[in-house]
Amino acid sequence: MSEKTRSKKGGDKALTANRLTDGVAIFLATDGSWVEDAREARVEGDDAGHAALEAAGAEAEAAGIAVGPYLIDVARDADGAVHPTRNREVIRARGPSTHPHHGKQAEGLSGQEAA
Amino acid sequence: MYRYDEFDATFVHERVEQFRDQVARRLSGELTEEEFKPLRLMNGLYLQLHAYMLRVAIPYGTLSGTQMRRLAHIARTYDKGFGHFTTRQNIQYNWPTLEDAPRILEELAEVEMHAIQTSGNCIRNTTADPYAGAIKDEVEDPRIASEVIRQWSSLHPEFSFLPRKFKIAVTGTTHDRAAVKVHDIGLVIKRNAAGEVGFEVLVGGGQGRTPMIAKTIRDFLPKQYLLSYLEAILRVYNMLGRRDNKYKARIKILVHETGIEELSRLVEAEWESLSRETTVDLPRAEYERIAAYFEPPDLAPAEASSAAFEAAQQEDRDFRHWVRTNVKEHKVDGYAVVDISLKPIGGVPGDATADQMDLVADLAERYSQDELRVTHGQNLVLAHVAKDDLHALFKELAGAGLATANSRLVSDIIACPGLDYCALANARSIPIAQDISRRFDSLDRQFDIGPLEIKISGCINACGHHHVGHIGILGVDRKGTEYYQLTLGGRADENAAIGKILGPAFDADGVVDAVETIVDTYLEERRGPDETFLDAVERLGFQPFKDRLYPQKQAAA
Repeated sequence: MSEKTRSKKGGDKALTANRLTDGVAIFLATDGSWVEDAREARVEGDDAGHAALEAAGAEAEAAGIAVGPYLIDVARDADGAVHPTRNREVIRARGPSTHPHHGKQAEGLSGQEAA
Repeated sequence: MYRYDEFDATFVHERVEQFRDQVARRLSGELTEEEFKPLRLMNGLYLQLHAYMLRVAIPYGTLSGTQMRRLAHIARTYDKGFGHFTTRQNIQYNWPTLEDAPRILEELAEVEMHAIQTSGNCIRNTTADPYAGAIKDEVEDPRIASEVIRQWSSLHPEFSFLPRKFKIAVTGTTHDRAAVKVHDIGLVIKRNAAGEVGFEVLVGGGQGRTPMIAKTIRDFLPKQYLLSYLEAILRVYNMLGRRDNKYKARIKILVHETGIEELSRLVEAEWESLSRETTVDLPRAEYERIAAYFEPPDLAPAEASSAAFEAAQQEDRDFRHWVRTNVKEHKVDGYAVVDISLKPIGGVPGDATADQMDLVADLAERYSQDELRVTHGQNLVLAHVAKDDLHALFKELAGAGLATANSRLVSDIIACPGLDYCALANARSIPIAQDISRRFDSLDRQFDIGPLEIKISGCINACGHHHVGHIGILGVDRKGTEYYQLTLGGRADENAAIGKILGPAFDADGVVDAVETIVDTYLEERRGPDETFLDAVERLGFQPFKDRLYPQKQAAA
């Protein structure tokens, strides 16, 4: 894990990675699948849950689905939808802020705007 | 332009097939990411925030119309219809898939291009003056030496795993448009007292977290010894460069820690020892064979100015402004060098759509000897345009949003991709460039300000060259918020200097106001329109700018 992808200790977290075939940012969902929409991410709030997420990430990496999985800090909005809290991960979840017609934001798969 | 020989063509096609096999093995699970990553990086394929990114080499920034058209085709077919020209005269695609990468490389190989050595700790694409072969005071076209270096450094077995990446730049004129003093090795082509052509060799320049200006290691190297001398420098670096800390692994740190005199002694000793073993220096005939590809085009001299050209300037105000900023004198009377700005007001610096690339390819074929250049300032150049064709060219460029009159003015901003794309970035760069460009959209105001280079990086790796911006902007992350630190007084020309930090950083909104405050302070304090921004900063020092930027601090003092 690099400095850029390190999340804070404890708190609500989701698991993200890049998809092997096209590099798109993906998130581990509650049903165990990998989805492009961060709002559908599985969230865990304790050490055991975080460990379970990381184990699922290692499995997906070994299976050739995901590249470089890591935990990200997340929060839930008023509707209960999950969104990343760090600016870097907000941009990953949406797409480049300079090209609103590119990336997930263009397909309606987006969280809140970058800070 | 240089054309591949049989060896080059075979080698590049074989490399594509190797990579196709490697990708297939990665997708089948035979290769892990740890095994595959160095292989994809050797072929220019990075993994960024949203997707893979493919960086394609454009040797010394020179392209034919056919090659540019192929880049457009790749943007349209495998990306989202655009490409991003970089500060290393290359192009990056932000959205290719892993599955498509071998096919893209195959399409590049068909037009004598590739992505080899656009990543990794090896000798990267050698960059050169984008006006090469077209400008008056040039001693020799720097692309000849650059091509010689390209051939020598491609898959050089001894230098494929250096302590860190290694960048070389070449200029053939005393006025440096290639930023040679902020490269690992900078070469300035010059004549000695006897009139012989050779190189001043500079070493140890660079940006990143420890910016340094290169020092002269040899004032005059006879041309025929170029490769053996480079080999000696690289050998000493390869042996003594630090591998224990990636932040101290560039040759600039070795120069700093060893001292230029001692390093020079070591290089000279290595050079002498090499010459006793064998030589990598090219026989004169081979140098001349390569040089023949860069023979100046056969341009029939014409009147230095023409009635049609003058009349068009009188009649068309936008054309007149564009000529003033984006058209430069050519060494042949009746011709001009044209800067094509990729910095429209509010646009993304360095981005071009596939349609724009296609058009520029056509224009290069029709108006500029089927050749165009990419600049380290993230613009394009048509180097050999007849003055009589300039108005027609301008109108075609204007129709495609490519005739912004701002070359080297305040809206001609260099910006790295920043946090919108880059996995290393701490803050966004592009939106700051867009906001500054919008703030200074009045051309009259830009003309009044005069030459002013703003350069923006989204992290300390300095891909946006902020250290050598007249005004430099560095994005940092502070507890999840983007802040921007300002530097002043940097420059990348023959008088290269590293900018110095002005004071506390500003947030994203504040930094645009801060830049405007700096510019307004200059306009108020300058002796007159002839005193450039840099001259004024040198005369005034930082205090007048600090007083205006940080008034509370001054009041408290």
